[in-house]
Amino acid sequence: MDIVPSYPSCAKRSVAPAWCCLLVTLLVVGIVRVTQGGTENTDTSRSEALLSSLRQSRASYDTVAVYFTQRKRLALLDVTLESKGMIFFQRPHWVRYEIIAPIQSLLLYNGKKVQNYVFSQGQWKLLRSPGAAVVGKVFRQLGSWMQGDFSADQKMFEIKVHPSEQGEGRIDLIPRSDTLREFIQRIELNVEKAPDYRVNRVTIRESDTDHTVMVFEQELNNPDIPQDTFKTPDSSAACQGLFRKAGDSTVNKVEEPTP
Amino acid sequence: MVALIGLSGCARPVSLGRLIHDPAQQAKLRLGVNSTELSEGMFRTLISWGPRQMAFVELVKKNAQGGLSVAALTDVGSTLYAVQIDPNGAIRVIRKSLPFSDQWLLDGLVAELLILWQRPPANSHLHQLNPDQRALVLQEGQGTKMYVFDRSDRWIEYQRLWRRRSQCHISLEWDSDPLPKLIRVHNSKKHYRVLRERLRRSDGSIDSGAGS
Repeated sequence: MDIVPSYPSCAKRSVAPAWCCLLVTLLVVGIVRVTQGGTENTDTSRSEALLSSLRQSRASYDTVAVYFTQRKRLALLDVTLESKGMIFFQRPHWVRYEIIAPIQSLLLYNGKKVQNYVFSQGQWKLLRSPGAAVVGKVFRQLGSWMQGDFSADQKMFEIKVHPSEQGEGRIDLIPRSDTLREFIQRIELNVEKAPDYRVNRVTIRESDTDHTVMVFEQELNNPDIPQDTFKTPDSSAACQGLFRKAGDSTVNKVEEPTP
Repeated sequence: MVALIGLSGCARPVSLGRLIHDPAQQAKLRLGVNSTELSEGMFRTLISWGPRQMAFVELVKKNAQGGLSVAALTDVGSTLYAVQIDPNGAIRVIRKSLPFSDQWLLDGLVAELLILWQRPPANSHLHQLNPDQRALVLQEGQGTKMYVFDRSDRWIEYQRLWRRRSQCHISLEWDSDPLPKLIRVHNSKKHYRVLRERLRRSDGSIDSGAGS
């Protein structure tokens, strides 16, 4: 017998967690707080120091733009798929998350609602995505965090910090929910020190064999962003041009992680 | 009123045309479905149901043993589903983050994608639907599968019928590549539509319709 799916709940369970994890990963860096029960490390002070340094170094930036390469390893098909994209964030809560190749898709958040666009048959199309409301809820929460309001719910992930001798390290976000853990085992944020503390690589581990690695190849802090960056897909070319204009001095050399 | 008109349209039986006895032509059309030889395919998929839509990427890859692997990924890289089809036809859902049954996934999205890798059954019959179209038709009880070809013997359509009423209609748009450029699916039984845009040509080059 065929089962007609309940699509809105489908979106909540499948699309939203993926977005939630990724956006938490991308936006929460530098503003997470270690709680006593949620931290497992051998050197609490170094862990606290890493998080504190990361938080302080990001505090002076109201706008951040990141150009990234994303590599998805899918063992079943024995393939690694590569895509390119960029993320723009502006305090208190504006976000532009765009994949630019080989497909084009875009997510915009204005503090109230999420708009999801895809480029199809030669033009941008606004999707009526059932997961948008849930994603918007997450964004609102993140906006609170960005403004220093830590009263918002932080129960989604257990945070484990792995500081290195040099003051750098890795922050693991482990889903607390069994349902989410079925799809994502762990999210790893790689923190580098120079020139200031920042996340330069994110690894999302779906299983022992499948993972997605996002390498932040270029990061611009407090850039003059193009008009309507957070309003329309039409500013895509201008946004991409911002990274070219910034030049090689802003390009990061990030080593690939060990699978 | 609109609903009534829609329902009456859906309920109209599909004509199977006139049976033709031409084994050579039947074999030629059947073997003309040449995507079965392709090692892989990659599509940008947009599914719509009611007012809602969702986009992802689907991949198909043939392994050395002749089996097929199929997967769907969101734009942020998470796996929506992964399915393995063994050469003997055994199917396993390896991973699924969609809240409907394995059978729903296999009978719907996966089956509709894999028609490109499956030749029309050898025991299907040749029918003349109209002066411009012929079809390979397989009737099994109340169910019917139709592979429709145009005047130049190009495969342009697939239909799955129940009691001659369409349950799933798939149209194919081609260019010079062995994989179709566009696939449009209307599954009237499960109430969804799918648009698949080819992302990668068989020579490995990237198509521009869904990307930069």
